[in-house]
Amino acid sequence: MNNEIVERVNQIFNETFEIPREKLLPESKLFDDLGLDSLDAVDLVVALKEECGIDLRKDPRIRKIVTMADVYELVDCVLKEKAG
Amino acid sequence: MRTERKSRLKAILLNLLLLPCMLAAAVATWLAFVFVWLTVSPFRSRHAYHRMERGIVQRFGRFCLWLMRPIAPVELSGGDFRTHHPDSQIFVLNHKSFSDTFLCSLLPVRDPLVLLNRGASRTPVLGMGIRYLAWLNITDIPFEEWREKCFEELAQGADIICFPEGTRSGSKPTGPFHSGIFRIAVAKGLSVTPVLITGNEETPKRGSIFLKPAKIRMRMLAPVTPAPNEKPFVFKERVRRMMIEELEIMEGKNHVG
Repeated sequence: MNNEIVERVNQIFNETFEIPREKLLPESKLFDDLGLDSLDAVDLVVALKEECGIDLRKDPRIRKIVTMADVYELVDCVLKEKAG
Repeated sequence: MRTERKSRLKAILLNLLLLPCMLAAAVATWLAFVFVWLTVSPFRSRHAYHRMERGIVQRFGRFCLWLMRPIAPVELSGGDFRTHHPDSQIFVLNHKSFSDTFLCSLLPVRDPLVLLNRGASRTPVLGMGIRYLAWLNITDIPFEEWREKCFEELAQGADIICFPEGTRSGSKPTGPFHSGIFRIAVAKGLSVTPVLITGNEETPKRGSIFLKPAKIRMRMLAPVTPAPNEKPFVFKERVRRMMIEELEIMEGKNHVG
C-alpha cells in the first residue's frame, strides 16, 4: 500500500472526525472501532471528494468498506483508475 | 441455595401477577386513546391532540413502573426529574432493556417525541402505538425527512427522547452511537441531556417477558452543549465518552484511585 495514500486518508479522518492518529490502524473497523455511522460515512465521502478529488457517492464498492485498510485500498484503486 | 429458590419463586409469582396487570393497563391506554380521538381530535389541533395522547402513554409507563416496584424498584439521581424545562430538551439514553421505554416516562417531559428503530415499530401493538403517537421510526425514513420533523416538533415545544445506540446492549458494553440526534442538536445549537440507566439488563432479558428482580438506577447528567463549530461526530463521541465514564462509576467498574 502506498504510504502517501495512507497518510492522506488518515489526515482526512483526523481533520473530519478528529480521531487521534494512533487509533487509525489498517485493521480498525469504521463502525465498531472508530464509531462512524452511515451519516458520518456521507461526511467522509464529501471530505474525500474535497481533499482527493474522487467521487465515491455512486461507487458500489463503498458499501463493502469495513476497515481502514478497505478505505486505503479503495482510494488507491479509484485514484489509479482516474489517472488512467 | 434454598433462599435463592425461594426468591426465584417469589419473582415468578410476582411476574404472574404483574404481567396481566400491565396488559390490562395497556388495554386501558388504548381505550383512553380511542376516547381522546373521538372527543378531542375533531376540535383541537393535531399537535395538541398528540400531546394529550403522549401524556396518556407517559402515565401508562409510570403506572407500569409502579407495578414493577416490588420486583425492580427505580432509584433516581443526578438532575431534576420533576421539573419540566420551559424550552424543548433532547434526552439521550443508553439502552439496555425493553424496560427503558417505561423508564422514559420518568423524564421531565411534557410532550415527548420518541425516536425508535424499525424493530420497535414492527412490534405488533407497540408499533401501532408508535404510529398513533406520531413517534418516529428513524430506520425507515431518510435522515433529512426525520430531521425536519424533529425541527417542527422542537419548534412546537416537544421534547425529544432518543437511544443513540439504536439497539439494546443488555449486559454488553455501551455500543457505538448513531449521529442523527447530535446533528440535530448541533444544527439548532441545542444541548443534549444524557441519562444513564443501569441494573435492568435482564428486566426483561432480550427475547423474554420475565422481569428478573433488579435494582434499577437512573441518573441524569447536566445538559451538554455543542461547542462553537464542533462537528457532530466529535460532539457525539464527547457525549458517549461522558456516558460511558458515568456508567462505569455507577456500575462500580471505575477503578481509578
